[in-house]
Amino acid sequence: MKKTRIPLLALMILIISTVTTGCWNYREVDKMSIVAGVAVDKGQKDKFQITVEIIQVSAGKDTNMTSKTITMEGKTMFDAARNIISISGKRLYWSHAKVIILSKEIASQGVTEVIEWYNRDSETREDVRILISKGTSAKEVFAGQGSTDDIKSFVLEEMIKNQVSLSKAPMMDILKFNIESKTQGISTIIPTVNLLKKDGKMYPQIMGTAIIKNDKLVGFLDGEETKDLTFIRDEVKGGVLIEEMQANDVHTLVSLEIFKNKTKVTPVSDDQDIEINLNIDTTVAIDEINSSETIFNEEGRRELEESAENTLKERIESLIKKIQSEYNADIFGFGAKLRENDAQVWNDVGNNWDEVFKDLKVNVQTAVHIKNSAMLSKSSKEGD
Amino acid sequence: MQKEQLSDKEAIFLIIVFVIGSSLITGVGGEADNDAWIAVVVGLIMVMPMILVFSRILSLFQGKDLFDILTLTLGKRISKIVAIMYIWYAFHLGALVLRNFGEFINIVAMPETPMFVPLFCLGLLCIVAVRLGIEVMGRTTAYFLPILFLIIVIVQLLAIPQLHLNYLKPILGSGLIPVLKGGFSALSFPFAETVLFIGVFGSLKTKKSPFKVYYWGILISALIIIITTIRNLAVLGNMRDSFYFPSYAAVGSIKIGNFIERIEVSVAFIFVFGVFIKSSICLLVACKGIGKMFNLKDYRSIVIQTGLLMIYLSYIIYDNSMMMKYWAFKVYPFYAFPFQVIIPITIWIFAEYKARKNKMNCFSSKCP
Repeated sequence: MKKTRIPLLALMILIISTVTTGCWNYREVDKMSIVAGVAVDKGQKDKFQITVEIIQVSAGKDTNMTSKTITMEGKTMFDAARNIISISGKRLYWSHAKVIILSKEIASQGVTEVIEWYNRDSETREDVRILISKGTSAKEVFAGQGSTDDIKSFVLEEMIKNQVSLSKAPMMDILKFNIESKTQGISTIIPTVNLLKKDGKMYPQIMGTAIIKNDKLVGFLDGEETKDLTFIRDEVKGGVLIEEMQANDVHTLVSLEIFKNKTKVTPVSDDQDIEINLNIDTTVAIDEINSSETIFNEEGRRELEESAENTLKERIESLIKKIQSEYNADIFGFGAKLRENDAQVWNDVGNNWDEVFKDLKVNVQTAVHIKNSAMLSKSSKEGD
Repeated sequence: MQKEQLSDKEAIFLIIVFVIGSSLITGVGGEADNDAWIAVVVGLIMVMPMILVFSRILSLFQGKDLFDILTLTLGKRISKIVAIMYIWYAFHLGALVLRNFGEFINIVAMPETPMFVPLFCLGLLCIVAVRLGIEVMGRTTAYFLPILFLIIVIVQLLAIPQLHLNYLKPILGSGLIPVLKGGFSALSFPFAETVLFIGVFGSLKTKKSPFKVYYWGILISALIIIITTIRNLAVLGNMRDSFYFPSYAAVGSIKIGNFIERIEVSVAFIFVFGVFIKSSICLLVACKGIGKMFNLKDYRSIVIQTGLLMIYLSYIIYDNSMMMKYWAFKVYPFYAFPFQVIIPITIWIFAEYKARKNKMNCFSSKCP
């Protein structure tokens, strides 16, 4: 027994050390190109033209990360993605991609056919953000100047992430987009990116919303409208409300920082009449003010709250009107809410929700609470 | 040779891992869409009478396993036929579970590796485990289960920021029928698959009621499945049913700060261990049955052969993963129904009848 044990052990070590040297199809980091982001345009020859931004790591005293872009066409997304090998020589690695930018043209043909591959493949991830390039072609966004980082896709991702304190563009990743486009009674939205010209350089800017109805791009909303939209969708995490005040006959602007918001959408239905009650409850703080003391007493505060409530209400009502008359796309998700709360009513009206939505009555109620005035308890300007 | 013994605790652990193993990752009750978790509850209620039947059979024949019981109740000839059926069921189920694992590895992690490689690696491990016996498997499970629990709980907590509970609504929006259908499929996969434990629990240490073991095992595992189903639904919404492996996709979307992300491998760990235990149990039951059929002294002499055959079967059983999903949710509930419900109830009726008929003749080995 003892004699056989040592050779047996040696054999085992030998087998283990030869068999477990690595994965079957492993790839070294330097043998692949890591994709940071991808832009999809309508191709000239083939259907899709995709541009990938690839991270290039150059070693030296400090490791430098720069990026370069490769453009290629293909009949399908996957075809185009693999065609890139013919230029780059390396296979692309998709797991670290942060953004996917769709051009206006390709989005008006249909969004799902672009992202379907992205959703299905196992190397790509569902948490990649979707953007629609509003003014320029998608590939030009990568040609712009990164303001904080050399890799444009990372900059774009930071911009989307930090929208929580701006609320001028919605958050949308592939998973959420898929869920929303599969849900009945809601039209999806996608944030838009455009290039801003400054000092002869082009900077990408994320602001505004693209409206997707039945999988096709139908229109755009600007940044301010997007903020109202996020209020209705209950996605507000932060941002600024600007309020005009008339204090001591002086026209002045007050900035209110949004801290908390709760939007309640309650569909009310009796027989064939469906109404939506929209209750918006916002907590804000005065963060910038340019007037005399009046605002800090009870009466002035109440006045400010009321006027903020009215402004918000007006803006939301006008946005709903605009969407109903111009696009007739339920981007607020009223239909989905109705389906969640009352499936029976939805089964009756769901099939022609478009028509119901067109003349849907929405009762907007807004409440704004001022919780503090930041660090200063008085106005900075001396009253006269 | 000493008789192998299994403590109650280990037996409960075995049932938990057996049940959650593959169902945790492939998802349960797909027919019911966003009411899948209710379907699991329905499945749990449906399986309760079957637990009573299983444990009653076991306590009528203490210390005996499935194939002895068959001979004692149904007579020599018929019992042989039923025994062959059960051997096939155990063998086939083991292959199906192995194949689930193979598909998982092939789709998610290593698309270019031939599927035979992961199948063979895990199958080999099962063969080793079954040769070592149920006692070793019980202890292994008792060792690993706390780790599995820890992973499940931590992942569950980390997923909280991603939950959208409104995805669960409308509750019962499309009526009761899809829920009942989902419940039926949850009964057959995974709850009533525990019928195979009749073939194992002959070696329970305490001869009291196996009901306790079944009851707690099923209850705890059902709880875990319900919670994970709710999580998957609340994260993936109506996309849940589109994924082959919803848990993997749901956990993949966890993102906390910039450092806790891409932790879906933790789910794979649970899955690998679950599949290992599940196909080992299946292999064990199949081998025991074959051993009894041919009056072998010990089932261990045929483990390697049966195990290798199981690996081959799992390799050729499906052409593709679409077939796997179709089979698992559309065909399997009906295919498994006789093995899980009809035959056990028949055995139970015969057993009660025989036990009443000759009360002085006691079947259990403990009787004087």
